[in-house]
Amino acid sequence: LAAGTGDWAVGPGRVPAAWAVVDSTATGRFRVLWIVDDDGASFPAPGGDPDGLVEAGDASLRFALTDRSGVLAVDIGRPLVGPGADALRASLAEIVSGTTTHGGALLAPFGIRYVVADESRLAGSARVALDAQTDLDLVPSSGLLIWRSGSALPLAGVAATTPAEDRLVISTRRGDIQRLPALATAPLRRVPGGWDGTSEGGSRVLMSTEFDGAWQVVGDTRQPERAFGWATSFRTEASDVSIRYGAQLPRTIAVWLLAGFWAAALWITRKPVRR
Amino acid sequence: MRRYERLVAAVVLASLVGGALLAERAGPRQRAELSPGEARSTTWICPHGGGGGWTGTIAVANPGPRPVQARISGLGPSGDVRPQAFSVAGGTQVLRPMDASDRGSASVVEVFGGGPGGAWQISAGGQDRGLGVEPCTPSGGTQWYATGMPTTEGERSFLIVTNPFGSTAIVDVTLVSPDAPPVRDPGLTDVSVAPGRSVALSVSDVLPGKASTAAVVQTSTGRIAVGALVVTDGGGVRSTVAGTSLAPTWVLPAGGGAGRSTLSVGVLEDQVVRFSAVLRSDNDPQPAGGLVEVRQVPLSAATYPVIIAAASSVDVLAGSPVVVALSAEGQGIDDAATSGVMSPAPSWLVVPTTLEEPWFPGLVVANPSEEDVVVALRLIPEEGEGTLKTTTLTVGAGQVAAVPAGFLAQAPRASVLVQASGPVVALGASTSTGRLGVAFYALAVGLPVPAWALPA
Repeated sequence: LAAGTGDWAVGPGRVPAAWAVVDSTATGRFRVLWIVDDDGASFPAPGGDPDGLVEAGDASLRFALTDRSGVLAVDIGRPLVGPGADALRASLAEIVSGTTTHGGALLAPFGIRYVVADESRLAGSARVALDAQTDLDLVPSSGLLIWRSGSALPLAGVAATTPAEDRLVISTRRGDIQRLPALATAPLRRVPGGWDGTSEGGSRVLMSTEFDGAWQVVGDTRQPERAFGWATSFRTEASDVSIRYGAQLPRTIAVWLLAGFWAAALWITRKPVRR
Repeated sequence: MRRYERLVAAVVLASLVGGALLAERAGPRQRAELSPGEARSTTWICPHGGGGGWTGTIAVANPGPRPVQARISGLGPSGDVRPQAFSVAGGTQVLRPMDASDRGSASVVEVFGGGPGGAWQISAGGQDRGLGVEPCTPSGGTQWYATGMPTTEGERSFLIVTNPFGSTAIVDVTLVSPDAPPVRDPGLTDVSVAPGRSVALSVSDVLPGKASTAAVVQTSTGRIAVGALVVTDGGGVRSTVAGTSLAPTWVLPAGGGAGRSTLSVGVLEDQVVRFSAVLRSDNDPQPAGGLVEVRQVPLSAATYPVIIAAASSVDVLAGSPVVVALSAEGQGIDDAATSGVMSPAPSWLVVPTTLEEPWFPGLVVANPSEEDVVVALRLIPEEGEGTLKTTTLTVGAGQVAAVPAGFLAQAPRASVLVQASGPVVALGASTSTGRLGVAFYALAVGLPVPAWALPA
């Protein structure tokens, strides 16, 4: 209910003060990765319930991905599935395995700016692995462990990339993706149906959205490319960039048809009221 | 209720109860163990320092069979230099010039796909002369310890504080000396080091006239890496990396110098420490410098003269954790120093400690264990230097051996992969430059190599 009415409040059992301070100082749109031991409990507010699992024996982790507002009522019953979710699970597994020191770069394609955990509910080995990341910096806080990524990409933006960096973007290997430097990226603005903004000299559009060939840059006939094995990317020379989803009408029709079928089914199976 | 309805109800109830009992007996599914990731990377921070007219080189060696990708960035007080990315072929090294023109200069090496890492060489210029070589450190941290920093007339000591991370570090320094209470100078308190910056903090300005000082460098926020740089008027550079831990035992190999050395011991906790030092060479171990059950007061730094052989090791055994450093006089104008290691390992990568011809490359292997070890040595040269011979030598229990000069002479600027049948400590100890090849003197302990990074 609190999520539905946007009424989180700081205090015991509510939003930890540490998160409230971080949330109030951060700018722009970004995602938050919540992690916790595999203990069956929820995240601290406003993280909600775990969506996925990284199996690591006794150090197994559960995780969830939210935007900066935390979990919303519409997220209830919506599982985190698909190639993007699989890639996120694999990237988090790389980090906790302790073999990489570039976890921020691995999480960058997902638009993750913060990784948050309850200090008392995170295995020591996972804590050590996260602290060892060169591009994840621990934000001073009390009660919560909050790492800020220095490599975070916006949810959608236009990056000025070199040819070598372009090869990393279109690679599917995490061994390559971890080499992604902190890219200078002009964020795009979320609008109904897509994203708008200016390229500010960049030419590589990056969207932390699962690849779908229906995404288009307005005024450009080039097809999107798969980025990082699961996300969406474009090449563009335009200074003003507008991205729209080209298959929204069929989806809208399908949803209305489904609603109609449900309404018909409910009507047919209704029971008359006994008087 | 009809008979069949009762039967269905009974079957459903029995299934529920039976299933619950089975589930309780089976218990929760055991989570699978995590496999090693495919995305291997390491980050090495090199707080080498520098000065006006100084030059620097970063050595990145790849002992493994497959090529790795590397990226080097330079840091200084005014910001970082655009990273250089390059490949390092399997079994080769790359020597990259880096900026060392500022007292606070530093570098960062990122290695992708293999290990282990990098090391620095700084060559003094301008009015300074000397060579400093040291392995980079694989971690940032919030607390660092250093010693071996004299501030007597003619000796200038600095702490190089490097912050390659994404958030500002607020740094406090506590200095101890032989004969005064600990000092927390306002100029070394709440020092802000911005992301991607590296600064030099002068110990000599705060605590002048001391034969030795030791430092605790800690952050109230953020992470850093710390090095110690000593510049001697008239010639001499000593460069060491600080450590993130105190320890009761240390191994400090040495060789190639004039024989006179100074052991610096820092007691950085509030308790008296008793320690002994053992000198190992190719003979039986003996007390180093007569140091047997020496008592050092809390929160102090002290120096002890030790005469060392051509290939030797000074092992410190203390009753409580301490920080140590060994500085050795060279045969020319330059001295060298090492901060040693806490524990031996079976494999090491030793970077080149020579600068330019004429040169006398040297490498010593210390075996502190109670059994003989067989050591295999392989040169890791720059790409294109051809196939070089490998060699082996046996190091007796508790002894130190020098690698044959003829082996190292195949490639005097090559790194060396040292693989032993037991735990050892390997250190480069070379002289080079000048008319006789002894003007510059450098000591650099190796980088321990994990098993997964070794060639098959």
